[in-house]
Parts: sequence; C-alpha cells; structure tokens
Amino acid sequence: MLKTPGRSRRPDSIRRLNVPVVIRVETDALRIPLRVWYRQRWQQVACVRERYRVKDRWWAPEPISRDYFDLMLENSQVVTVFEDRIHGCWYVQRYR
Amino acid sequence: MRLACVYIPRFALAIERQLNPRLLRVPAIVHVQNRVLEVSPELSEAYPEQSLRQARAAYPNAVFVPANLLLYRDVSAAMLQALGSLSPVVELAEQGCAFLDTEGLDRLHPSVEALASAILSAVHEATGLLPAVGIGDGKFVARVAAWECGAGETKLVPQGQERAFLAGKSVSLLPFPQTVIEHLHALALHRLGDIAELLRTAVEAQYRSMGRRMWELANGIDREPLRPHRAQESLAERLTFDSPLVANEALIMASRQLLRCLVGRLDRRSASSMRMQVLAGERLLWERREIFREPTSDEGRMAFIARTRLASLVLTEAADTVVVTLSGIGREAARQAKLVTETNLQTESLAGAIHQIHTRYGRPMVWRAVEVDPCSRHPEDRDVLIPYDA
Repeated sequence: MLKTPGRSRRPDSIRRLNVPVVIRVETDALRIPLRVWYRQRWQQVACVRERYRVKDRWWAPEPISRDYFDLMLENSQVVTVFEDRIHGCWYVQRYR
Repeated sequence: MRLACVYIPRFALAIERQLNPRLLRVPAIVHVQNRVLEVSPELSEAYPEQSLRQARAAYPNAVFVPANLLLYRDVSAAMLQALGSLSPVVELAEQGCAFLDTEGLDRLHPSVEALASAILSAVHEATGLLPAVGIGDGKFVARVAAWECGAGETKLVPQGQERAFLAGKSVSLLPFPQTVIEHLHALALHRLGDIAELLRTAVEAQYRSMGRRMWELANGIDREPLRPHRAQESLAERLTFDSPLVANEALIMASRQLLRCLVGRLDRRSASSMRMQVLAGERLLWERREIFREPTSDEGRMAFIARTRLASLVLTEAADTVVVTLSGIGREAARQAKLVTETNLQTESLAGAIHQIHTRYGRPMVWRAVEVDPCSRHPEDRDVLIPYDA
C-alpha cells in the first residue's frame, strides 16, 4: 500500500483486507510453480490456468513488479499466487 | 441459449406518434413531469433522464408531450401477450423490450427468418408498432443485434460468431455504470474486441466480479437466464351507470358492490393487489393500484381502502363506469414478515454495546469493511477494515 503523508493513525486503527500471505512454492527452471505448500501440505499444480505480469508504481520508492499465476491444484482447487520479482518471495493472493 | 430480443425503438415516442401522426413530422420530446423520457433522433443534444428545463432551453421549438405511462404499460402487456402466442417462455425486460426463447421453435417455423417475420407481424398486429428483432446466443448478443436494427428489421447472429459480431461495437453498450464505461475509455479500451483480447484474469483483477462478466459479455458469453413472465390470474368486475355522474359517494357505493361480487368469486382465496379504474365511455379518467400489505380476502378491508382513495378523488368530468380488478390471486392467505427488522433503536443499542466492548478491551474488537480504491489492480489496496464506531 502506498505511504501517504498526513496525520498518522494508531497502528491498530486500520487493517488491510486481502493482504497477500507468504507461501512456499517449488518452481521449475522457468519459475513456473510445480507445487505449493497450501493448507498445511504440499499440493501438486495440475495446470496453470493463466499467468500475467503486473508492473506498477515504478515512479514510487516502493515499485511493484509481480508475476501472477492462476493455478489449479491437484484437488481441483483454484488458487492465485504471485512472485514478487523485486524481493523474490512468493505470496498467495486472497480476494474478499 | 438461443434468444430473440424484440425491441421497439424509442418506445414512448413511437406510441405517441401512432396516436398523433402529426408528431411524425416534428421533433418531439416525451417527458414524465420534469424529466425527459424519450426524444426524437434528430434532437442530438437532448437525452433520456435530462431535466425538462435543459431540454426546453436546447430545443424551444420541439413539441413536448407528457408521457402516458398507463398506456405504455398496456401496450407492453399487449406485446407480451402476442409474443406468448409464439413461445411459452417470454420475459419483459423493460417497456418495449422483451426476450423470447426460440429453442425448439425451428420445428414450427421453416427458418429463423420465418420466425423473425412471425414475431414482427404478431407484435405489429397487437400493438400497431413495428419492432426490431435480434436473434443470437444469450441476452446481450440478441439485444445488441436488435439495437442495430431499425423498426421492422431483423438481425441474426450465427452461432459461434458472437465474438466477431461484438468485436467492433463500442464498450458503452455494456450494461455497467457510466463511471465504469469512462474508466474503460481511459484505459484505451474503446471496443468490445479490445476487452475480449485481454486475459480474463487480468480484467477480473481490475474489476472483480464485474470484470468477469465484462470479459464474458465481450466474448459473446451471456449466462443470464431468461426469467419467464408468469401470467397472473386476475378477477375483474365492472359497473356501468345509467347516466354519467361525478359524485364520489356513488363511486364508493359502486366499488363496494363490485368488491362484494369479487370476494365471492375469490372462493376463500386471497388477493394481493387491487386496481380501481374510473372511465368515461372507454376513456380512462382515473386509475389507482393498491398493493395490500399482505394477501387478503377481507371484503371490509378492501372496501375501506377503496373508500379512502375514492373519497379524495376530484373528477374533471362525469364518469359512467367503475372497474375493480383483483390480482395476485393465491391459494392461502399469509402474513409476510418484515424484511428488515433492525430499527433505529436496535442500531443505537448495537453501537452502544460495541462501544462498551472497545472500552473494556482498550482496542477495537468489531470492524467494518470500507472501500478505498475499488478499481485498484492490487486486491490488497481495494478495501480496509476500520473500527465499527470510527
């Protein structure tokens, strides 16, 4: 989230929804997920439904560059993960 | 699902022009009180929902016609009835626009063109108006096809070519708020084909559930089901006086007599609405529709409502006929519970309880979600939780 100038609030007075959560992902040489640690166990990726890149706020001190993957897991569950290309971490993206 | 969209272009204006052919030669604006309802195509600066004052300022020489909403409703009902003779599944989307399920009708008509021709003639016979007919897979494709046609024309979108048909059309045809359409233009997405070429997930990430529907519509996929119009049983009685009169008491007495007959015909069933009409000849002088709070078969209650409405009626000319119609006939009388039971008092007590919880724990415990940037590409930037009483 962008840092905005102005009066600071108490840290517990605002919470973000849909905050990405760090996730463990095993990938192949092309950085495509093979399996993910999801719901307390490793789950194979059955197929990659979509992949797309989001680059944003390149003008700001904290730019965003993410590779999103829309994955279907072995139990037919669909989950969206992304790799933060700046810090190299994987996250699972939740939607309200 | 193969559907036909039957659409009468500029519905209100078409009816007014049918009633008064002189309007065919002059630019006209149909209005409801101080809002524009329909305008002639040549009046490019006027548009529906515009204030009447603005329209008058832009086109002082146009003819301004007050809308006859009851007549438009009756014409729509006649159109629906005519379409019902062609297909059992018909939905009235809005006045002057209906959808027709064409599945299985190929056995009754030799070709799709013959079906379209049958629709045109059925509506024309029932209303005297010529509709435009669009046939395609899904409501959106059929509707866009109908919008493309002029009155009396038909447009058929072959199966499998929906995406190609929509590709060149403007995004402003999408059934989304104007702010979303403007946002699409700001993103240089001017045509439906521009959206169809994007990844579904990319559009979804931008516009959430609306994005999914947007992408599907741009690709000619519309899963919205047809909601068939259900013919409602109604009971009507009319009483014609020997000589025209204006006295309210006589009208009240007539309505009571008619209600007595109708309640007898109800046969222990209940009605959920009542329509009262006062006519001079066959011309409607006054009409009122009352929806009961709960279905009823109580003659006294109906008579009380009729008396209340008729007592305050001021007729400008003598009436000779009273018609009372009961509709929404049901098997059982039922008491409907309130949809919203939360009163101001309960809201206040809830807020008080939440405040006490906050005070006790020294930090917010109950939160509410607030939209911050609903169109953000990053889901975590769209909403925040703030304390309930903030």
